[in-house]
Amino acid sequence: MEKRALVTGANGFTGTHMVEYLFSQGWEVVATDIRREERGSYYCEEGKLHPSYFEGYSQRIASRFVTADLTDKESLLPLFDRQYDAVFHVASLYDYFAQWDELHKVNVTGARNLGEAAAEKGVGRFILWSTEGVYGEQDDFAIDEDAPHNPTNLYCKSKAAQEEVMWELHAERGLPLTVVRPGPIYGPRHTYGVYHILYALEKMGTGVAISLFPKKHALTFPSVHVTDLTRAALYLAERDEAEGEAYNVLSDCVPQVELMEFLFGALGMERWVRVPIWWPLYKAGANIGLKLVRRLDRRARAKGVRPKIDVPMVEYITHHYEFSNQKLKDTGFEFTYQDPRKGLWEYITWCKDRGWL
Amino acid sequence: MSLCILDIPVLVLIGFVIACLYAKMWRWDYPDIYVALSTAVIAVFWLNAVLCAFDVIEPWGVGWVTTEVNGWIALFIVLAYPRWFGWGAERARVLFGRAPDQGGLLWPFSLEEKTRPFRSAWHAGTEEE
Repeated sequence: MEKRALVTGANGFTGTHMVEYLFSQGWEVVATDIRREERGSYYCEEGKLHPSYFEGYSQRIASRFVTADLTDKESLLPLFDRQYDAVFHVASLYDYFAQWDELHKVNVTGARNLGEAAAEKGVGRFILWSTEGVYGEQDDFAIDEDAPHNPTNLYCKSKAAQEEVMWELHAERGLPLTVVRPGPIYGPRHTYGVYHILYALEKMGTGVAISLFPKKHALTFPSVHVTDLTRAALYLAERDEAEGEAYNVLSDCVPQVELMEFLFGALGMERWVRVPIWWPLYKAGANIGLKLVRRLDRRARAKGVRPKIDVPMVEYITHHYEFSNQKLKDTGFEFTYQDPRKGLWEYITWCKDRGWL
Repeated sequence: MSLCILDIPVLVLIGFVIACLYAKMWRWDYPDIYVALSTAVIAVFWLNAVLCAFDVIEPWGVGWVTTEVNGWIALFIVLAYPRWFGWGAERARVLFGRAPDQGGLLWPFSLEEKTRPFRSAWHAGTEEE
């Protein structure tokens, strides 16, 4: 019998991929998202370098598309006029420039509304999209799913709060919850996050690969190809033992200096240097850079424009992040892009084909 | 042969300034001006060196920053002038970018986007974008 899934955020980058993948696996898909006009009240801009909205994309694939707003409980009722084997809650306000009120409204209140409705109607599994960012900076590496939450920016704080709410629903209302915590996602149609790194490198034209010593401080680059993420989500949705569990979903973390050198080559950058820096000196320099970017952010907000690079994106390079994907691998899941360089090469080719890089 | 030891630092500085001005102001309206200016600057410095070598004129900075150099070494130094000019220009390109679609290392630190969009290197895709 055909299985049925509900996908939220179905017109976003990951949402469109989730709908496509479920459809390719023979699932009946009910897709939902807000209207473009309503979305515009949350995001300050749209298009390349901003989270995208692919209007009509999921409508063409899904068996049914329902316009709904997570923050409006009433609008969610038509979604639950049928049973679902799985709900994939992809929708999120993923914008580092957004303010706390909006982030909380969509990511926390919106998720609670959907979770309550799902718990009330009963669903086979509820897959929640969280983020690796909930961990923040930790003392131990590689960070696994048991690490405490220590988010460093508003978006990640909202996702940590979202998880708390959903775990409460799991404990108190029996919501069959599984949490996926993806690293930065990339893949065809991706426009916000990893794309910024590639775009900024192309715009700057000169690469600087920083080799940190002592070696134990070598930064790593966490990421996941959207194909692996959607595959992992469905894989976990179909496994009983995944209920009540959280999983880091990301390719193996590769040293940042190696990845940067790979990117310089993949982007065709002729000029780049590898600079060895002592860790405390790097931290000091990175913090100065962070202060400059924060100042730029304040100036941008005062002018009503958006800076080219959001503050949290720079914050990420001032911290040492290294996550473990061992728990997911232990379930038997195999990544298509275990080494992110393979996926990034394909994504860069995709972008270059379109003049995006 | 007498050489002004400031020739090289001055060439580096001029190379840097011309590349800065080109990147910030001229490359849009006068795309060929960098080649013209750099050729002119090098020509002036070479002409000066040749005239000094044949004692037609005194090297600039006499009594202050000139030095006597063996003829062959002097020839090597003078022939390397374009390299020093280019080195100075390259520092500017690192800061401001090499092409109209680049903004250099300073690109993230400005709010306005003055660079041009990337041009597609190729287009082989057939799928809907």
